[in-house]
Amino acid sequence: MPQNGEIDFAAFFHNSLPGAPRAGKALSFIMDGAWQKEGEQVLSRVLKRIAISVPVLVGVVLAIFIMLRIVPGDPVTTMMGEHVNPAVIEKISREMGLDQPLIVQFFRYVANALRGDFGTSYRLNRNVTQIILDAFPNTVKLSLLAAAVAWIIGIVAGIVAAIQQNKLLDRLFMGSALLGVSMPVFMTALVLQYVFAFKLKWFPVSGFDSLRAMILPAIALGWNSAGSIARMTRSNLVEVMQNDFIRTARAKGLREQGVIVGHALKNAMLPVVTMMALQLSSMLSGAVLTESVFGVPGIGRLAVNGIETRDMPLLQGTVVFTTILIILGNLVADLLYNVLDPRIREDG
Amino acid sequence: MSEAIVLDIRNLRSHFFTAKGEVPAVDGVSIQVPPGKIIGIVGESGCGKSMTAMSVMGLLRYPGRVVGGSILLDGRDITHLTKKELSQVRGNEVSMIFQEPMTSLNPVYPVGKQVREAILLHQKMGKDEAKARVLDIFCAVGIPEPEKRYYSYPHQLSGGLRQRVMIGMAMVCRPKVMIADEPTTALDVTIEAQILQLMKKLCEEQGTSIILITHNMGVVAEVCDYVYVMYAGKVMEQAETFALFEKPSHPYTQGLLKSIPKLDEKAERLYTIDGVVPNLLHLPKGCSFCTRCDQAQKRCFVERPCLYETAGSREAAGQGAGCQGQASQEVGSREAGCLEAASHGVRCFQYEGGGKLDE
Amino acid sequence: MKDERQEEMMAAAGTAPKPDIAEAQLGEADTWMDKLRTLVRQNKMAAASAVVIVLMILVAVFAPWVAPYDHLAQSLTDRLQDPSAAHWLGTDELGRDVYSRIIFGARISLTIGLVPTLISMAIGTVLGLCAGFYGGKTDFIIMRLADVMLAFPSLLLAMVVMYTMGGGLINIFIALSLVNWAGTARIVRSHTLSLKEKEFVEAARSIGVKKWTIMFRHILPNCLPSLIVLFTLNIPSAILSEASLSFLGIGAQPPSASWGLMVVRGKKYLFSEPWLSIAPSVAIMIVVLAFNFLGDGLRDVLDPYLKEQ
Repeated sequence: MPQNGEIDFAAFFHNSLPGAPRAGKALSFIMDGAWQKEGEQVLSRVLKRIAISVPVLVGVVLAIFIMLRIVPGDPVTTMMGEHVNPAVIEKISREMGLDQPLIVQFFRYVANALRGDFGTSYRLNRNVTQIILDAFPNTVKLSLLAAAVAWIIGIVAGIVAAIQQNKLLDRLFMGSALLGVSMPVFMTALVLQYVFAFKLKWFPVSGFDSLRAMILPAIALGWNSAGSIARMTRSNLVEVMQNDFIRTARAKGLREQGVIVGHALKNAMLPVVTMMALQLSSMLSGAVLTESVFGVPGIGRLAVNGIETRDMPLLQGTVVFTTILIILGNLVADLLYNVLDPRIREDG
Repeated sequence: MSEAIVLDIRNLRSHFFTAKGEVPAVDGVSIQVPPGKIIGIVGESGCGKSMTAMSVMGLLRYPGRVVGGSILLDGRDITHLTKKELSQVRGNEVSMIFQEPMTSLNPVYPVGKQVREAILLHQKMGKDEAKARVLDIFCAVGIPEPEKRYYSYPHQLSGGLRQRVMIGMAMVCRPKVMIADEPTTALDVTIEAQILQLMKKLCEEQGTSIILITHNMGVVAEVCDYVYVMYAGKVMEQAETFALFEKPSHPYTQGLLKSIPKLDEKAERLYTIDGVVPNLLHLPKGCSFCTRCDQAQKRCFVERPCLYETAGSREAAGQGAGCQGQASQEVGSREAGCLEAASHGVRCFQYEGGGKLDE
Repeated sequence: MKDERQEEMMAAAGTAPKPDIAEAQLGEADTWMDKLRTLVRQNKMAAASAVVIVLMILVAVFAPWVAPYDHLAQSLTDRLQDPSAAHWLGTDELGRDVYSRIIFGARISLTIGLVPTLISMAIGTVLGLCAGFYGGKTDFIIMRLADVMLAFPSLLLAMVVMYTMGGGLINIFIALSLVNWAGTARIVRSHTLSLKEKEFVEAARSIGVKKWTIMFRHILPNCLPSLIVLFTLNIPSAILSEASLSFLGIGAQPPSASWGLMVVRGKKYLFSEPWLSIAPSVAIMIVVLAFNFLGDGLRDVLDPYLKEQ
């Protein structure tokens, strides 16, 4: 029941002001019915939002499907090479259903995909779903670690920079943040590899079998996001600090740290939380470059392999899978914002 | 005299430090606030009313800064407090409410919590006890269904209710002085009257003094005991409200009062004061009002007038000579001989005959 | 009326301390020269970045005269040399001068940064204008299409296009031109929606000005500040996309001097000749950084309300 999930949010919400009430208080409020109404509104918005996502999803799958099929040349010929007996090619085409009209192929693909079957890889001769499920845990580990790096560094640096606005620390942090945003991911990865794996020998050069081996890829992947989170946190905080209610908080007798932590931070973090959710979903959808430099056997590698070996089902499965992740991520980010911001929660 | 005056602002000067120069936003303002009274500060936008209030609260932000004078709260100068000491004064001994009730409350927290926060900051009180206190104050400021409103978010309340919450927040620690910066400007006229009555009632019940900043002479007439008329960072005229409306002495005050439309008089067109508030960076050499004054003399353009006591005020005050020229005044039912507030002072050469009240 | 302090300051200083949004969008309050002057005065980094970018463009245009060697000339006797007076950044595995290749690579990166960005933004602008102006079904179809485009991770989408069309710089051109229009379309649409209600558009409509004239003569110029900022900020992402695609081996093909390709070919020698991969990476970073700084500065001056996505 989604309602349960929201009650937790409510408790979190009412407990987050400095000097918050005991959970019991918040619960009594939830019981009295006011929350019930809000809960229903949230639920209906969730459903509406999901309903909007479905056509986008269908559109995305269709787009991938068409794009991969306007490749010049017959896919089976491309796969098997030019010098194969035409009869064999025809037989394989029929087996794979490639002789059917495109629209039939599409619906067959969607029907299979809904059952969790993304077809069979040309090259690896394995079920694409299985290949993806094998690679996915690595990508999840990498993404979660990278997200942790990005969030911690980004948020702390952003807050410090906002507090120290226009002072040395602010410039230093924001300069490095912009550097982080501007560094190509492969550059970060190569520099880290050179310095920490080759020169200092603190970490293995590549591989992904131990936590030690995961640290460099996670930093390489998270560095970029840390930069954008830091920039966004700072600019939002600085903007929120201009608000009238900040003046009220000061007039109330809160000291500057109290004003920032108790009043500005939550307002400022609402959009940042959304961005963090989006970033996580895009990391999960494959850190193509990081995985390539460090040889992480993840989702991103599958896509590159699919292109290099012209393995259409593999590429198609990977892209569809990751795009579903991205759409889900967008959905979660949106809903998170809805649940966290009382203004949107109420009227929208 | 310090027993009788809760808040004594003496010769306060607050400047802005901008790229184009130092701007004297508050230029030698002295205001006395007796206990349990409502002091009005009136003037056009940009005359330094809000800056004076912000200086008292220690809320001036960069590039603004208090550069001179003192602010005595119960005899203690609060212009040189540390941040920690200042935060103990704010919201506790002196509190403030703002013009925009829409934006002055944090949109992401329930209003009850925001009021309770003020209590928890300044008083040793349990959370449940503090909540009960919040519900009390919600009742006192006339918020219906306080238990339910406690958990409402600001966007769920009307402008009038929000301003009541703000007043509740400002009064909840029983401050000595509450500063209200245009508290009713953003509200409907009917709500305005209710809010003003509420403030007056609380002021009488709790003995809190109120500094009411407004540009509305009607509001002043309705609730204030004393009035300070400000212009370009200076007090132009100060008087007991009745006296001010009876005998407005400064040409600026006269202009302000004349520009209020009256129902019982037929006028061809509304009276206006020509011109605009001068650029504070390039004030006239003489009286800051000289360029707009219809009674200006040659001298007004070259010399700066002091704040002079009007002749009538001295006679009425009688025994006021003892306290540094701050003659008290008895009018109507007010306690005789109490050193309450300012005498009738005017910053204009026409009143040069009276004693100087500053400089 | 919101903040009397600010009002007082404004009255005092005679000017508004911050550019007002209405003024910034209508471009009437300050001339372009005023804004440029503000930019140079307020944001030294942005001004410096503009200088760097101009220098880069000059270097790219005059590459054959600036570069000490031919970027394609191989010399098997000079393979994998350390940086020296003769070869400032050493030589690669085929004995080509890395410094000269980076100079020629600037041509590729800057062209990729400018041309496909311009094309994709033109597409996005026209679609956004139509969506916002016509509304209804047009709006619905265009914006759902944009949703679909934005749902793809952009690198992945470019990869799929590259799969379809095969590698090579020309195809990167096409891929990046087709892929990145959706963001622009969204922003232009929202501008159009609000501008459509403005009096000057109503007035133009009431005297019978044609729809296309209104869109391109009246609405488009008012979107320009945002578009310029967006353009400056889209350039580095296009440059990064090309570098990434080439790095993955599905972009520029040898012997092209694309920076991304140089990095991936130098990667083999990372531990013995690190400059082979680090030098072109630094080149990418400098260009991207310069455009980001400039874009940030321009945003503050031209369009303070266009927030970082």
